Amino acid sequence: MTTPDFAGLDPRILDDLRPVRPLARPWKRSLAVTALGLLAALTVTARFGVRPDAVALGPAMLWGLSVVQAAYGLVLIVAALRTAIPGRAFAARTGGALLAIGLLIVLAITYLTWLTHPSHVPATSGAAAAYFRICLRTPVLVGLPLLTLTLFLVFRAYPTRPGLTGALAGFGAGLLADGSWRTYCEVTDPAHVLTTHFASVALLTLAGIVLAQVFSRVVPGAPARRR
Amino acid sequence: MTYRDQADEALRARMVGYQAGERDAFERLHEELAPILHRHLLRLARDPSRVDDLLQETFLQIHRARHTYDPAFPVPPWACAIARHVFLMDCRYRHRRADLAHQEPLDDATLPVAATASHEEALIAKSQVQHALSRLSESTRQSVLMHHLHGLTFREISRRLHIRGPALRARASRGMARLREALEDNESHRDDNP
Repeated sequence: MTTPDFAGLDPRILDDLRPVRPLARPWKRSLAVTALGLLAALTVTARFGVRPDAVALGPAMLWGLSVVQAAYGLVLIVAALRTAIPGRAFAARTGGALLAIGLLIVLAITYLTWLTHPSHVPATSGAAAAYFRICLRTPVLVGLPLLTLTLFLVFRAYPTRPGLTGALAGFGAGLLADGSWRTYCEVTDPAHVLTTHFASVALLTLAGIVLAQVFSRVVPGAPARRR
Repeated sequence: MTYRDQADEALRARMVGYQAGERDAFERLHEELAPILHRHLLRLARDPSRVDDLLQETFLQIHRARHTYDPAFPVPPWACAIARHVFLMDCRYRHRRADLAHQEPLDDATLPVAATASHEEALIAKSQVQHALSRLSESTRQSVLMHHLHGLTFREISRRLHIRGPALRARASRGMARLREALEDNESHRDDNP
């Protein structure tokens, strides 16, 4: 065996050859987020109950579509965890396509629910503002712990594209949170759903991008902190 | 099993050994991975003088990220992705440094003087470089400075100067050759007239 040339090698490597435990596959790591998502859904249902038009919507439109939305949220979270692994990151175009599919799913679910049972925000004074407040705030509050856990898992890997990773994580957490919130909110008017429920998903996506960029500069060992 | 598959299997085994903390596995891995990464970095940076530093930094980052390697996948794409990230970070760092240099132009008083050269020699060398640069056309000078001094990639320069990639590469290469010739001329004149 020839003697390797270690002249240019950083001495920190040779001084630190301790064993490390390899990370589990992204889908396995996402199970922690799935468990927290289920807990969040149960908490929302126990605290607020099920929407009054549940019978009119039927189980497929109520629970079925919520499961579809939450399942796609988990797909995005797995994609975020995968993007944090060197050599397995999605191209920006693929990441954009994943986000666009998420948007299409939200639009399809909104349209199908509206077709099945149209309902509006009550026309009483202050109702619109109250609905806007609660339907924006609650999914954001439910989604933030999911986003935090996802970003914690992301930064245990080596995210070389924090912006894309954060966007996928935020959108995924937003879909999961809103998937449980739509089992309570009885308003199916697309004007309400898209400007309020989807605004919460967009806010979480933005939070994901910003937090991932910040973490990539402050978390010890993160790729952007090499200098 | 082809030779390539065997080599790939061997790299995976060494990477698993490296994750388990085996020094021998790391030494073999370094020996086999270094040429692959060197080639990859050279293709990206196109500047042999940068590659040694980038390679060292890549191995440091590989060490930090070694827990992210999954033995179900080949080693080179994983390692090359880290090398590419190191290269991009280096470009960004150089870019920022270049921007700072634009904001606060260095005067002679703040210029570092090489340890081996006197202040006077450094000033002479500086004026020679400036003179040689002034003999280049404006666009060639910009291409050379942006690529070799500020560390911008050809793609970035191409976007800024609105010049197509192959023409830009040719211009920068021609500019460097002329610069080298001019500096060698100066050197030979100095040797003739000490």
